[in-house]
Amino acid sequence: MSKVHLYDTRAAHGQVAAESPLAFSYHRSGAPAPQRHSRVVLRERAFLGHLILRGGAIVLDEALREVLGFGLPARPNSLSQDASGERSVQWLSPDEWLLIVPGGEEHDLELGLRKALGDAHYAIVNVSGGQTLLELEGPAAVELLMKSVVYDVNPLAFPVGKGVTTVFAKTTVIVRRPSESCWELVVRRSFADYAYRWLLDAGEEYGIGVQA
Amino acid sequence: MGQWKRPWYYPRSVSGKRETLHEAVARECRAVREAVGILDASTLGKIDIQGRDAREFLARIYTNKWEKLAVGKCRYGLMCKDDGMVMDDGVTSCLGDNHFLMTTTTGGAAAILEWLELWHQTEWPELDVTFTSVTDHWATMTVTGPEARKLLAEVTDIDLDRDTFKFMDWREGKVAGVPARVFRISFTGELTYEINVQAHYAMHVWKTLFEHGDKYGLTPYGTETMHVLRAEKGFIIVGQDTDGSVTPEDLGMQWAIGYDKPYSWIGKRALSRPDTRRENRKQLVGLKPKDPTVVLEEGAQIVFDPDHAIPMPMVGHVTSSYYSPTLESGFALAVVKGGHRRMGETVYLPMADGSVHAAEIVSPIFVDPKGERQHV
Repeated sequence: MSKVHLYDTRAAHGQVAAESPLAFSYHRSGAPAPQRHSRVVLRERAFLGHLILRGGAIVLDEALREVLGFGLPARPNSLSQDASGERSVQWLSPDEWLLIVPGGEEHDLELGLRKALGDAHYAIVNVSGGQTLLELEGPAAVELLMKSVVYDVNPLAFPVGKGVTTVFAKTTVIVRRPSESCWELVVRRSFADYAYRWLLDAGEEYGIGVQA
Repeated sequence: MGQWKRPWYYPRSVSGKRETLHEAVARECRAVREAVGILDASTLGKIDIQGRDAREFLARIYTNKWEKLAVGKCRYGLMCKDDGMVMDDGVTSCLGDNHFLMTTTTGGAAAILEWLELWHQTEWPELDVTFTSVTDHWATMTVTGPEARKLLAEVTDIDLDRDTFKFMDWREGKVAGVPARVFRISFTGELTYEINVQAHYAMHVWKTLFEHGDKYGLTPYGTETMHVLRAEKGFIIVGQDTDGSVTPEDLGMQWAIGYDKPYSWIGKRALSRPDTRRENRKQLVGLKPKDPTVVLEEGAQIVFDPDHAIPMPMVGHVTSSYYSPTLESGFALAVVKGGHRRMGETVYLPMADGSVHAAEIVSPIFVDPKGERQHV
């Protein structure tokens, strides 16, 4: 464990100004408040803890169960969550998963997982500063996604618990469906402004609103 | 650059008149050479590498050696394709014995990550190593110039003593109250601290540096000034000074090749071919125009004999060319056949309008050839 260098890059909460990947977008493009007629609402879940896990499924699954109380999703292109829905693990590739937890938990979680994993071959990388989570809710959320991604997001083909990496307009995003009514996008910081402005534009006909 | 949008230069308005590119770049260059400048270098590709075979993997991917790089140290590395031609470069730092942070060129980051995965998955799956992009996680601010230490000392708890935090070391600590990783690596040739913080806090750190920087003349600079400063030092840009047909030795970078490593590495075999050992290959040199007001055209063809009947034998071309406020002259990097043995010779550049420029072949390092300024 000592051979990998650990460093908590999160600043003490409230002591310095933090900017989410969409801070500049709100400033430049605005954030239209949701109206009664809004058929889709966009909400950024900023400053969450994002960890990339790499390694063998069996050892990672055991470590996650021990430390978090739930394991890896059983199948590709899917996610597992705890009862509250605040912590999730998503399959990204045969040896790669995305773990999202409430902001501030990520460093201790990494320490705990490393302790549980011992000498196994694995990697844990904190990418919290590099991406953000957007939620889409409302009756037109699926239609908005249909216009934006190439993947088939028809609810028949995209059941609750599914998550994929796909092409969104001219960039790449992760699309996931943690519950019946909610869709999530994970976007990279460097493409967050592009994705946000695309969603405002494509969502205009549904009266898209942005919930701070 | 690549897919990124970056500030080109930061024009000021002087008594109602906006600076031209040339004026702004001259001012930004002087600020870095004489005071302190700051560059947003966040676009630099960054790849986190972990695993017990990470070190050996690096030594197979890069042309140079990685066995002895200690924790806390950084090293410049060159990558070749399997044909022996330079494909990328960057600084990789040892974070832990099984943990490295690789930086790549801004435009090359995605392709290099795929390149690492390709070799790992298809050729060396037995090596325990993983690669994860952290480009977006870290924001990078380059604080560079003779006043860089004084400025940074005001906002950090890291010991900046020149004998304990040396050139090519990295350290951790708070900068402007934010956990930061600071690298003493330099693309300008000046005393440089590359400050990395989680991107959420970048604006806070940037603003704090400016709150303290006024008295030191802190000046933001863009990619144009970055290009001039690095070219004055003979630091290449892969894809500009190289074009997929240039070997490390063509660049005069024999020091970055480990022919005696205990195992093969990508490009080694190709570099032993007779063609890559030819003495009249196009080699990287500096060009100093005889007329200092001339800035040679990038891409201009070079000939040895301007009086030769057309078609003249073309022996190379200009790869980078700028006006240097420090040298008070135009200067260029170029590739010239057998150039390394032709120092001091004159070459000619016939232009489309019929004029012919003359230039002297010189070392590609125009400023501070011994590298003393980055070691202070």
